[in-house]
Amino acid sequence: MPSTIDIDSKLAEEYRYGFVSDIESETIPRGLNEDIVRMISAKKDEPEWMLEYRLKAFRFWKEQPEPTWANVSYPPIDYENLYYYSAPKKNTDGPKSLNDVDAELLATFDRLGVPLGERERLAGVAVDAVFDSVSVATTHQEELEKCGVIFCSFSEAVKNHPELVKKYFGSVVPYTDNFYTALNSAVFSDGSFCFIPKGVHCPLELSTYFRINAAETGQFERTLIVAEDSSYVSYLEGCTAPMRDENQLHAAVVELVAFDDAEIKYSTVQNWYAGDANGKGGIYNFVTKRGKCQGRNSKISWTQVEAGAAITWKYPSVLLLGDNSVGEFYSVALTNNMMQADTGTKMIHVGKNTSSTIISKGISCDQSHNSYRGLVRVLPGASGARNRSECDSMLVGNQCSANTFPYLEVENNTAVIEHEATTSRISAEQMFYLESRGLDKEGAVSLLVNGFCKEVFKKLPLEFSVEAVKLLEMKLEGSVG
Amino acid sequence: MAASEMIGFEAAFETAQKRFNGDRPSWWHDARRRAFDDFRQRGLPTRRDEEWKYTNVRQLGDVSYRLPESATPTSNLDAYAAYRDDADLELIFIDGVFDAAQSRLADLPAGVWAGSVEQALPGHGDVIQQFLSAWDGADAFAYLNGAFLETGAFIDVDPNTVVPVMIHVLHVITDAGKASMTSPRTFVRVGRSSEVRILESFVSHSGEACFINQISDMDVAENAHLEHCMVQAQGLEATHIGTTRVRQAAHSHVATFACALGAKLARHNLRVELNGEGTHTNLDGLYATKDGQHVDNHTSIDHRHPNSTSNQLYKGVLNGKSRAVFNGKIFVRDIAQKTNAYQLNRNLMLGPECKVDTKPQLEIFADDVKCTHGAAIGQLDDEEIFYLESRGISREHAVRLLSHGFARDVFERVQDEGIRARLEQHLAEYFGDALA
Repeated sequence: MPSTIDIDSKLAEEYRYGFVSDIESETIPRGLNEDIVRMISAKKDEPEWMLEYRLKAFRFWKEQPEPTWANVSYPPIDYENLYYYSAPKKNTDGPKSLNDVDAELLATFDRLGVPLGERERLAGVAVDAVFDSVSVATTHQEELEKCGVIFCSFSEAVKNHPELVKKYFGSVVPYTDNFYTALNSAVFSDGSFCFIPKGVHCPLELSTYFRINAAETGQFERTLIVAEDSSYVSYLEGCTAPMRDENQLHAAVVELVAFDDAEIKYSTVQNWYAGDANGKGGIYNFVTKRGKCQGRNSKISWTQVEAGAAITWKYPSVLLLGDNSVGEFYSVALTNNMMQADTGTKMIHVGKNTSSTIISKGISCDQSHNSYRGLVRVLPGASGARNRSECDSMLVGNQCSANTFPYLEVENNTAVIEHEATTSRISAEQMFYLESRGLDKEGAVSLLVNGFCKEVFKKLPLEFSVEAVKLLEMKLEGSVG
Repeated sequence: MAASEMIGFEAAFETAQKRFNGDRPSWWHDARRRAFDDFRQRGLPTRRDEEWKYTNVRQLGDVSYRLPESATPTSNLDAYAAYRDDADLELIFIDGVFDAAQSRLADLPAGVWAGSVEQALPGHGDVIQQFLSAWDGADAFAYLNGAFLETGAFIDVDPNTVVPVMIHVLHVITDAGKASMTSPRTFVRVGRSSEVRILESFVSHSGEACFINQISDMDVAENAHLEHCMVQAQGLEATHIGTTRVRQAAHSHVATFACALGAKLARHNLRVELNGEGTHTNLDGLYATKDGQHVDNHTSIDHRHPNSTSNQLYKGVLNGKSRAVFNGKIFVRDIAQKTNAYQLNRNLMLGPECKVDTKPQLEIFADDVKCTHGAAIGQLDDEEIFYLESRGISREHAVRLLSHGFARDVFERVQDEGIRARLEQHLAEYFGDALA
């Protein structure tokens, strides 16, 4: 199919979040050692126990080899040559309200389309925005406080709710989990903290917006969500970063805990800068996300649209401990240019009559590599476990790859486990059909891709769903032809 | 029975090297020496090795092995009569030693040469040498086999030849094979536009521990047809490591079947390389396990050229405290457009403490392809059991009938009736009753 699209101009507009905001920021020296860890902790005015935790994690990290098993390749990262903390400079002691926030910063979020300003906000979305390493503003605090929901930056939670943080922090993802969790636990900067008390159906969708702005910094966010008995929360996160030639590191840890009859719905639209067409620059996205279905009938659902980052290494998982608990994973991963994504999930069935669903859609274009890697494990005591996995890949072009690595490990003879994977492409017939009805090439591709991903998109909250569709359309421009 | 030394790999190798002094060509010794050096360098795989994640073979290094005898052990094959047929060409190996007297090779059809490796060396040495150098190891057990390789079957089919009979390579381990390590290798060359069916059986009624490390290498030329079946029904204390390697030229058809019913620890590697376009490959298998058994199947098919199809079905029935591992890889290279690849692994978990680890795997670099894989783990349908019980069949018998039926279903894919009959015989014996 000959392309009439001016690829250069498309490429230039491809990443519209690629601007740098000229904001005064304060950073600490490059490098990583115990002094840096102490400095980060001091900057954040943390209690002694948190510093101790960071140091323990740092000492553990130093002993760990970097993992190499993922189906991605990249030049070695010089961890000594990164900035581990960057914060927008504060006028006073920090923003008291939106009016105190740096006007330039607000303008940045405006450009990103984050509904931060009250004037522009989409009704019903409470936003915690994290800029480089610190949380800059949290909206809708009052309304949430009324029903007892705590939604604040992680640093605030450490100050104001130390007993809750102490109880749950590291309980799902211990710092010893892997190389990147150890690194994150040592130098984590900020993130969100949500606590939904017993019986509360959170009235708003909680949302966090992450942005890496400063050059050569790593962002190490830390998010913790706890849903007590019979509560419900839907949490959304979005991420962008400026276009830069160097690679930047993002190593986040997200922990979710759901008690009896509670439900947590966690949605992500990830659009970190992915590097240019030659693979120069972009974010290394090494993320550990895990939810624990602690209580009976609890449910954790991950939905992700992974459309950015030069390298993605991410496996949102669910530990199904409570009887009848449910885990879900819905994912769309799109890679183009030279992007590499190795993503999937882990469902660990421990309690009785637990069930899990995995729907993964991978789209690879240009010279990118897209891998699904998933684990379904049924432990001996997990009688009545049920899993259904579906992994579909679509290839656009013949220089990309789509890989599927599912691991099914079953130790209970009452388990029913099904896995299915297919690989296909957009057929010439489909394109011809749509084009003959007046759609242009990109409209046709976008329609077909949306159909391919529909099962996942319909799991996203409305605003995110619209954004996700637009994002994929934008990414596919110039890749098709 | 002459006393053989009880020694570890190192010492065993020294002994093995001395055995054929002057008896075999020097390239043979060189190849074995190279293979042993490679093995020594690599060592046995550990569970950190992704290919051996679920199967532990460390204990193989702790044993002192006896090598096969120099003379043919005497053995009565009456117990295996049900698996044999007078119409077949037969190559028989007892405890790793070729039994010329009991083999049936007198009337070779035109265009076929079949015999033991030692018989083949004088006339077909160059072909064997080619096999040994071009099909070099890659994994520890292939090197180990190369180091201890003494005998095996050699089958050469000329171009444009349809072999009218089935060729049966029968390996029997007797009680005298206790603590032995046997390393046979089968070499098969199928000429252009020829057709041949080969059954390899590894059987034993012995309850003694022994180690069989076997390889079958098959080179299939353009437009040729090969049907190959491997049945592993070793004694329940045996360790059986098997590797089947197939190279297919353009427009060839190959059907492989791997049936694993015996051994305490069984591993089968199947590697298919497609070296031309328009090929077709079937990769099918069945495994059934009982208390204490561990069976591992690793398959890989590499689509390197356009317009090829592959179709794979592996089924497993697990009873008692046993464990099954399956890993199937499908590679599709960027030029292998119009590939159509299908793979399915189904497991029936019956034992209360059984365990299944399955990992179907796709690695696709071409866009105009159709690739599908699936894996399922489940139980028998209660309604089906109830149906049979309501007709007066005991629950135990009903389960046996249904799981026998589940397993037997894969045999539908075997083309050759002789091979299918032998498979059914093995399965009937395994389940303890025939499905008439």
